[in-house]
Amino acid sequence: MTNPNCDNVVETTDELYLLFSESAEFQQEAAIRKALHEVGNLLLQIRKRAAQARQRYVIAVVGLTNVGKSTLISALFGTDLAPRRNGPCTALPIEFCYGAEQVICLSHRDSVQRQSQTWSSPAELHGLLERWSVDFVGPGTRVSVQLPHPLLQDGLVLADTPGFGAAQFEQAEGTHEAIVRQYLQSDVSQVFWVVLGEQGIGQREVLFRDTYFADLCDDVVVSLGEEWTPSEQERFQKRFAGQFRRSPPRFHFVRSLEILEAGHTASAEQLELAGGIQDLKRRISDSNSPAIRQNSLSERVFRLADDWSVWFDLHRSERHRSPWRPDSWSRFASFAQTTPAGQLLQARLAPGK
Amino acid sequence: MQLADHDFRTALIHWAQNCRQIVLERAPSAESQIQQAISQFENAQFSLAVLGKVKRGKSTLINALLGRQDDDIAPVDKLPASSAISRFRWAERESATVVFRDGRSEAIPYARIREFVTEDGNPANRREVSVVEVAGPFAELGRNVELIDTPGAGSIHEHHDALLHAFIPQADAVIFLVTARMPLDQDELDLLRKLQEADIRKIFFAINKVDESSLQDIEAAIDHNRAALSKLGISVPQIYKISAKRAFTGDLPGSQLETLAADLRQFLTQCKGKLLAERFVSRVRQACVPVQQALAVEVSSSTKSATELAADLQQLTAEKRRVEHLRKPAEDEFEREWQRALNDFERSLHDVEQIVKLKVSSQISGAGLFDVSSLAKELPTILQRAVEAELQEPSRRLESRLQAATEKLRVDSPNPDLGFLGIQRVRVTEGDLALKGTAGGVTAVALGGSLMVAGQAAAASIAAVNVAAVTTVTAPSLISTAGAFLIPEAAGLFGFLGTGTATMSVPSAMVTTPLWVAMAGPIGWTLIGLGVAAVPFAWRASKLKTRDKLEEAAQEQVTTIFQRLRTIRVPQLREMADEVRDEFQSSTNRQLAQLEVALTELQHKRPDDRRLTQLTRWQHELDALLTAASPA
Repeated sequence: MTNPNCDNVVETTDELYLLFSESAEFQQEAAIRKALHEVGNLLLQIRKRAAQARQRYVIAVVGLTNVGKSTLISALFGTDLAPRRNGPCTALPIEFCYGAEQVICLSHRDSVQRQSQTWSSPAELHGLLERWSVDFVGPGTRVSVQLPHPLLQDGLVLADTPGFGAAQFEQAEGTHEAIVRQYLQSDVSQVFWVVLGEQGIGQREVLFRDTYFADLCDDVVVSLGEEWTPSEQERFQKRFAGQFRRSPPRFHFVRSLEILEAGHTASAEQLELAGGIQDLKRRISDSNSPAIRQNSLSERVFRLADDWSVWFDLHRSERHRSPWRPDSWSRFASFAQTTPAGQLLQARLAPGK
Repeated sequence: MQLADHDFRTALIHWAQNCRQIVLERAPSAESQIQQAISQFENAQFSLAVLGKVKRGKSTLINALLGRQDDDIAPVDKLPASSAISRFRWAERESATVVFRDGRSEAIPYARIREFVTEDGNPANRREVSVVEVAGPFAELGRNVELIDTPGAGSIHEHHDALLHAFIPQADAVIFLVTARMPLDQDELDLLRKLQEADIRKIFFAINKVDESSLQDIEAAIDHNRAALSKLGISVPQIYKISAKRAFTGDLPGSQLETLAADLRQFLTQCKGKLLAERFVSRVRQACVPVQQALAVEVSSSTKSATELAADLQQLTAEKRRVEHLRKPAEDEFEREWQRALNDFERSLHDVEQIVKLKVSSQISGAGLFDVSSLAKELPTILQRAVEAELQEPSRRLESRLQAATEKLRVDSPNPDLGFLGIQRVRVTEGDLALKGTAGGVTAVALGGSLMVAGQAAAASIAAVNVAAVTTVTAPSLISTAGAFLIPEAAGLFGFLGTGTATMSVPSAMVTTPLWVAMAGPIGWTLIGLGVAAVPFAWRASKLKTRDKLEEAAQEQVTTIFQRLRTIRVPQLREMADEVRDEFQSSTNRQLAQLEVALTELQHKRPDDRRLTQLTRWQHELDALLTAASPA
């Protein structure tokens, strides 16, 4: 990491956002104005994640009904924790978070009181979950399962979400999706998008991602029912690469069910075979500590600043030596002086360098 | 795992061959007619399409149904594979032909099929493939069943869906594949709705890959699927549980495919097969009855004197002239009315075209808040709906006028009066098809107006000939014919004309109407060539970035459709008038000609006892054959 870590990502991003958005309004040249706006929007996304990075950090596992979201979560924990919710059942997101005791908790945003109960075995947990998600379905309800798992340390929350895409008749179509959608928008910092290897990625899935979580998703988990050779995996990535033009995600090919069935007896060799799961665990541990999360976000801010200056160098003309609105720039400069990271950013963005 | 009932067909063909043997010596023309009927019957095909969402195992099922060991002709892959429509039919030799959008075609070896029908070999259909036709000695494929492989719905390759929707109306029956692994989803519901709109009433709903799910999951999937289907108003008697992969890898019992195959077989025989068989029997009958009649006359007149015979012949000639004379005005009037109806239709096309254009334009410009790209996506559908709606009324009018004209021709067509030969004429009215024959005094009854279950009486024949002729072109089938003629054009261009009677009558029209059969050659599958015309438009629309260009493209597309209606369909319909007239003429002509031959024969040479015995035997055999044949 060559860039100094900015320990105040939120403030820095705020200032940068002001600089870009004010300058965009001031800008006469359409192309430059558009680019400024684009960077501004990206900054907003980082800002949102940065705010969450400080506190509760939720990674949601999202995907079509039955692609293996719950199985993936269970495989990550190494025990059959998340119930397989076959078919389109009414369901809520289930959050898994750290707790010294094994407790399941139900709360509603309109009420202070929580309902909680300890659980001792996965079967007991499943029973409770099954009852609760049917009985208490409705927006605003939250189910969380606490357990002392190392993966969840430092405030990381892993969330199992209801599947989307299945034909629904019982309720008005889409109520299901509305729950997922609201949750994704208000609570989630990052998304693991689960797709089914044997089915590929479909139009409807792509649409759903674009609408709800395109900006939150850096990882695609390809759930496999059988073994795929590396070349088959590569072909898969290549085939669907066109759907990720903005920012290519990481693909993780995972045979969750096999891992789960192998259980604790799984040898290192077996896990190796099952491939992506280790990789995915690393991704989670990386997001695990607030410091690392801050770091990766500040990385993104620097990268964005770089991208911007490269772009502007290519598009600048004699008439437009500086893209900045002068007063915005001086305010940003005075803020940037206060931290090393800010100074570096200021140097990169300085007009007429 | 045969897909068609061979025994039944073989029996019918055998019967027709027997008839052919008897008429062989007496009437070569009738013999060649029977021969033609046989070969058409043998070649008539059912289109059985395999449909479903992407990666449901369609190509695997095709390979299994074809009894293939490899996936050369229907490539299978872990990624969505099929990108084109492929048709498979039986032939003695292996062959594969790629038909391109521009009409070109190219013969390729099996090993190269992959290059044209897969997303890897032919990404985004850059090669502009319209359809790939594969033929070969597929052991399991009935000679009269055509299997069709289709690209999966709902993949990221949007052009697959366009292809698929354009194709749907052309299938006689559909195997709809789902899996238990994934619950029925919106894409699948959309596809089922399309099937419903295209009125493919026969859907074989199968859950594939049952070996990859637990029994419990499968049962849950069945419940969910049933609920979904009943909401759509689709009833399927059975949800099949199969594993195409097992069948493909040689484990037929484990694949549970037999049940599905047996039901398919039964369906193909009972529904379309029955219609085909009826039509076949009626054609053979039509060829035989004049011969049978002539035989009867020859036998019964063998004792007549030369003078009597001369008088009979003279009277026959007079009768012929009379019929000819009376026929002319009826035919002329028919011809005039037929052409007038078409003229009116053609004139109305102009207005319809303008209305469609206006409608489409106002949709395009009126959609102010529309995003252009979503407009581009919806445009093919908007166009389709507009053409559909506006064309419905004029084509319905045309249909009913053509139908009326034909009915009038049927009533006005003169029947020869052959009472002097012992053949009594019976006026046939619809609904009362009892025919009386004098020779044996036997009554024959035609059932349902479509198939004659003739009595053994030779004398029933005159009326029988007429009825047979009439029933083949009479009202219901003609509606279908005209409908089938009009609609596939639009259907071809737009996928289908979703509503109305026309689309759903296509399959039956193809089998019941001789005219349709006659013209099925040029029309039949060349439809698919027209069919994909919708796809380039969908593509083109999706590439256009501005509203103006979209509008221009839409207008052009409408112009093309109507152009084709005028230059292809209307002339074809005009020619149909001749076919209808000939159908009426020839039955009477054949009858009179046969009688004439019989009498002339008698005049020249009295049959000796041996000859007479021979004639009588033929007569009886033919009687027996014609009585026997009634395909249930």
